[in-house]
Amino acid sequence: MQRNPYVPIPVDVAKIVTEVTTKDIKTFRLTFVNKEDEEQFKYLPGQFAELSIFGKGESPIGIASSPTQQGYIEFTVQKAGVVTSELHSIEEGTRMGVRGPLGNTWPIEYLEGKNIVVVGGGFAFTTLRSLIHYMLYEENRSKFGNITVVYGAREPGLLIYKEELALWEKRDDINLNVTVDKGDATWKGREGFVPAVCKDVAPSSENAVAVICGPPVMIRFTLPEFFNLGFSKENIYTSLEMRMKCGIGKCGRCNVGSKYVCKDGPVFSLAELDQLTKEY
Amino acid sequence: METRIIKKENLAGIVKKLSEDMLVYAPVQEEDNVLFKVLEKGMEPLIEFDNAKNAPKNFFFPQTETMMRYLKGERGEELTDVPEEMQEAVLFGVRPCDARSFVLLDNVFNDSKYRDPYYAERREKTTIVSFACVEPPYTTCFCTSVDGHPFSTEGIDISLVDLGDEFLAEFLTPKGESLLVRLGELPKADEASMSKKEALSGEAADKIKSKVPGRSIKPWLDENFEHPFWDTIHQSCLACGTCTYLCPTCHCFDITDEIKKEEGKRIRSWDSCMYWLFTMETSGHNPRPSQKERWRQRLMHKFKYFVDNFDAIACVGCGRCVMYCPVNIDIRKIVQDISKL
Amino acid sequence: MENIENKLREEAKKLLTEKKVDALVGYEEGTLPFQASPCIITEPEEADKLVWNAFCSVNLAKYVHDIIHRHRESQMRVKPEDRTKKIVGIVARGCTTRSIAIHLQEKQYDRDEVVIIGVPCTGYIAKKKLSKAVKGKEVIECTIEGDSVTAVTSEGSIKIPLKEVLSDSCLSCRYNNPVISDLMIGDAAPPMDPEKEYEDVDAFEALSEEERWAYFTKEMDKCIRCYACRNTCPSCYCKQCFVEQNQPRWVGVGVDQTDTQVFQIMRIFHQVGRCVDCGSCIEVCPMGVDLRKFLKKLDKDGFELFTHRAGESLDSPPPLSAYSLTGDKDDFIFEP
Repeated sequence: MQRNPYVPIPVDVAKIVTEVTTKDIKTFRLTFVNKEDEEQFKYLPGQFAELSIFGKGESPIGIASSPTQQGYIEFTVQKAGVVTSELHSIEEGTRMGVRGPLGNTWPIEYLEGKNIVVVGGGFAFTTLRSLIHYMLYEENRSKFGNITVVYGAREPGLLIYKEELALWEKRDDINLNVTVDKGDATWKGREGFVPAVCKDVAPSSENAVAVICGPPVMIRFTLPEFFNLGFSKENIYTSLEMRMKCGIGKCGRCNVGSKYVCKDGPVFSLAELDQLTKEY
Repeated sequence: METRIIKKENLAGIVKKLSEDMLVYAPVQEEDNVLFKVLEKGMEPLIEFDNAKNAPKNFFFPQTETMMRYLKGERGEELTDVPEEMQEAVLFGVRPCDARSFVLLDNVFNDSKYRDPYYAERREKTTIVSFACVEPPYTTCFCTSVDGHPFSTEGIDISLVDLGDEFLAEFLTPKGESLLVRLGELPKADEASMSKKEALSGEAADKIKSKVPGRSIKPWLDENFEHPFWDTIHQSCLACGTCTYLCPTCHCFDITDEIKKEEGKRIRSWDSCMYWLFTMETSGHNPRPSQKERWRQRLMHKFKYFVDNFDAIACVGCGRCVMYCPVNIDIRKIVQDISKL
Repeated sequence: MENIENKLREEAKKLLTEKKVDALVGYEEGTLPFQASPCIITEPEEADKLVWNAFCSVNLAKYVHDIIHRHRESQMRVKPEDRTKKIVGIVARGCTTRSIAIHLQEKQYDRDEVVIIGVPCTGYIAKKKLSKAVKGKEVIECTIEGDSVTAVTSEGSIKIPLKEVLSDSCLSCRYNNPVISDLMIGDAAPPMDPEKEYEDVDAFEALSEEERWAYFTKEMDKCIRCYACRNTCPSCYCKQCFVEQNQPRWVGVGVDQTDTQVFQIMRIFHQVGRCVDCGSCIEVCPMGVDLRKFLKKLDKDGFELFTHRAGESLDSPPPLSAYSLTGDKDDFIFEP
């Protein structure tokens, strides 16, 4: 008997981390109430889940943790609507629900054996963080070539996952480039917009795939840099966002042409997006 | 296949009797409207009627339904129950066009990866009894243009054909046959009745005068997501949900939470691609910002996207949206206009 | 009627040719035998498709409001000094002009943004009454000759007195000639029966509270929340209706009995002094909900308390948005 796909899996909020100085982005670590639910929750980077708070509703959020991190799942959530505002007001220990994993994944098998360029902007770094964790995992690292990361935010206080960025900075098996649009007195790192940094870092397109997530304006200016570097549309991937409710291709609102972002996406290559209508 | 003859004057009584032991959903007269409703004790269904205003999809996919309930627990709201009231039922008096809508909706609600238990269980436990359209009820009927037929048996368990003074009952599926024992003694149909039915079937198809090139606009739709034509259909649209709410194949819905005192419910309600809020994102961005995009979505979904995904047009030609659109936006005309481009 | 139609096309063509209007809202022939549908034309040659007959039903003022507001929104992206006005012409009968008057009173657009082509009105055919007259059968053909309507159904042809199928709103209409216009077509129409305006309401008021509630409940149970009533109503122009708000959510989205009732009650109450009894909400309702009784009741109260009739002239603003310190007889504002 198939499980009712609308009934959320019970989870407990184990840990809440406020990521940014504006305090409107938090990361929630959730642990499963039932062991068998944890075993069944098999996911890969790029997927999302519906976070459920009874009485408020559900919100589709990308999974920010990696399956290589066992015992919990993590979501980084910006405070915006009814559900996310409620999430931001809860405390550790609260019981809530998760429906998922939903949607497709970053093309993990395709990425294996290739050099990977990860580009993220602002708060849209969450499923990219999942991917980086996945690739850096001891047993996985050798499956991937060079890993280059360009990650930017408007200002230092808005960078998320700061502790991890510091750890990755120290490693020699990942080329991390963190940038802010405008630094402050304490900022010693790079300054500049993501597209410019990409041009500067100039990762080779040789046997490489780029995975890009960020605000539309960042993507618009970053893509030409990658085309200049010789990346084909087949080798650039991104993730779409749409208003969603069911998350399983039934409620009918998140389609882009014949494809449902919740079921057939959210991950698409630019070549695939070219085949779709521009309604997102 | 079992076949029987039911005297016309007996049919309503048979269904009324059936409704004493099981749930029967059937067309009834409610003031000026013919509506599908649950037959309450002692009620008889309509036998002579054109078609119901509301589509029978309501039975499998009600406008509002509770998906689960929850109560305040120590650490937050906790799930208490998921309704499982599915009992055996009969959906009586369905027109062949509307019966086809179930086959189309099965693609969405009963797919192999995610089965929608609310829809699927009702569907499995329900026997569908139809009236073949010996006289297609409206000049706006266009089932033959969208792969249907006034005598189509798709999605039907028991088909009733009006032969004049009596009905020919064909028990098309095992589910239909298993209902046979509950209908009482009925004489078997003879050869003559069967050949009469065949003749009526051909005549009925000829009576559908409204023709729409339902399949042939697909290549144009494939190529013309951007086209000046899309500016022309939506101008007078009120952006109400009449067309989608009366449509037998529209299936979009919303999920919301409601709490009364301590008790909470997560409910599912119909939603409509005609509403601006349908795709509105929290950020304020709306991928379908005006009625133009919403109309394009409605048409594309029915005549392209659904065809791409399931090789079927998501329109059964019942004509409800044509008859009840408050400002007479006629989908037949739109499809015809596209075919001339 | 034919004369009016010809004159209307002529004037519309002239307005469009001389660019006195950028768009014109009127009616065109529908695809069903008893329907004229709203249309928006922008080219002079399109004027020939305009019609004026007893099938022209829904109030067009809503379109004027929406066209102007969409245009204003698009102008927000234009430098202030380069912004333009969009002038909209409209074919308007009495009730439509009253709706325009309300828009103007409520400062929804300026007088120079709308050009009103006034037409005299002898009432429109209510689809539901026509359907009832032919016992619910589909009307395959429908023609009007003088005071009678001939409707053809699969069961044959029936002749019905026109009065029997005119909208209830029209039968007791007090303003079947335009209250404001820029140009008038045709001679003034003879008066209807305004003294019967509140007959229905009087009868309803005479019922017991239980009976009235039972009637309200029964009618609201028919509602499927499609919002056709709200969306066709010229006075319902809120950018976001309270039923669509979710922070907080005032009312559930489904057809739970109380939610439907709350939606309808709130909408009806928002119409106090603003409902022109055009009958559009009743005409467009796919389920045949009797909204008129309740709207008319509030209209009657509005008249009895404030001697106000919605949109009858530009000088009489809706009573609930025009409190005067000295003139109002109730001092509820000071004694909560």
